[in-house]
Amino acid sequence: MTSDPTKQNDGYELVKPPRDLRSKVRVMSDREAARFDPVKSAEAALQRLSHDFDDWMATEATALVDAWTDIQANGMSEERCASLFRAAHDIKGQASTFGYPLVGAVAGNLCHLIEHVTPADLPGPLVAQHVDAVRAMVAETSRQEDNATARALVERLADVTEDFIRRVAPDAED
Amino acid sequence: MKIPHLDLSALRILIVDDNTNMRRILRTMVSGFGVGEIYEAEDGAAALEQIKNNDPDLIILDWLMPIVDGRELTRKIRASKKPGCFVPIVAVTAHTQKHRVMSARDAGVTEVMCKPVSAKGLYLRVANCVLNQRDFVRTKGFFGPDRRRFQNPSFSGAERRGVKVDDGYTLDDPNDLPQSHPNDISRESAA
Repeated sequence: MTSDPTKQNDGYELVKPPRDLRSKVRVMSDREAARFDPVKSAEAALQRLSHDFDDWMATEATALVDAWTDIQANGMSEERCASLFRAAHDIKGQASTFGYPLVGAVAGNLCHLIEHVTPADLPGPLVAQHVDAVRAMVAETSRQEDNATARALVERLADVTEDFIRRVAPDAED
Repeated sequence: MKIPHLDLSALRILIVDDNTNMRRILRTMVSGFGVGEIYEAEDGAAALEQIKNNDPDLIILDWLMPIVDGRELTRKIRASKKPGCFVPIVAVTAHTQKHRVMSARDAGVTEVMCKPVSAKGLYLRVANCVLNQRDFVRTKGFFGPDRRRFQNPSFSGAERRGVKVDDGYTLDDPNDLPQSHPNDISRESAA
C-alpha cells in the first residue's frame, strides 16, 4: 500500500489504494458504445429472467408466512422477531424488481412496525394482517399499482400502523 | 451527464447476499454490464474466503444478513491489514432512512445503494468506484474511503462534480477519461 507522508495531517493519514482500478477498465469508443450499452444489456438480461419472478415472489412470501407461523407456534423471541424482520425486509427490497410494488409497500410497513415496537409489544393481529395481505396479493399476482382494492389495503395498514406506533412508541424516530 | 460505456471484462466482482433470489438479480445485472469474473457468497465467512481466494476488485454487499451483517463484514475487511482492505464496497440495502445510510458510510463502505436495485443505479455506482477511486483515510478510530473525493487546492472553476443522474445519486465527472487499451491507462495520465 502507498502511504504519502506529505499527506499526513493532524490526526489522520491519506493512503492511496495500491491497485489502480482504472487500469482494469476501458472507456469504449463511440463505435463500440453504439453496439453495447451496459445498462441496456443488464436490463435486457433481467427481462429474460423475469419469467421466474412470480415464483421467486411466492418463495419470499412463503418465507414471511413461515416466520410468522413459527412465532405463532413457538412464541415471540428476539431471534424469531429478527427472522420475521429479515423476511419482510427481503420482500421490501425485492418486490418492486419482481413487479409487485404494492407488496413491497406492505412489507416495508411491517418492517417499520417491527423497527419501532419491541418484540413483546408487537400487535399480533396487525402483524397477521400484513402477512395475510402479502400472501393474498402474491397469490393473486396483484402487480398493478392501480389495483384500487390493494392500494386501499396498503394505505389502511399504513394508517393503522402509524397510529399504533404513535400510541406505543411516541418518541420513536423515523 | 452521459454515462460512460465501459469495458469491464477484466474486472472481478464479488456479490455477498444471503438471499438467493437477490444474488441472482445482482449477478444478472453485473453479468449484463460485461463484468468478466463474478463470484458469490451467501454469508460473511464465505465472503472472507472468496476475498482470500479470488481477490475481487469490487464487492457488492447486502447490508442485512444473519450472523455477520454488512457492517461487521465491512469492518472486518477494512481491518484486515491486507491489500484487500482497500476493495471498494457497494452496500445494497432496503433501509432508506438517512441515518442508516450514514451509518453504512461510517463503517467504511464506498457507495450505498437503496433497494429496489436498478441496472442504471448499480452501473453508476460500479463505474464511480472504478473511475473515481478514492484515497483512504486512516485515523485512530476509522479506516475507509475518503468521502471528500479528490480535492484540488488550485481549482478555481465552476463545480462540476456531484451531478444528479439517477435516484438522487451523484456521479463524479469522468469526462476526462482516455479511450485506450486498459494497460495504457496510468493513474497519472487519467487524472
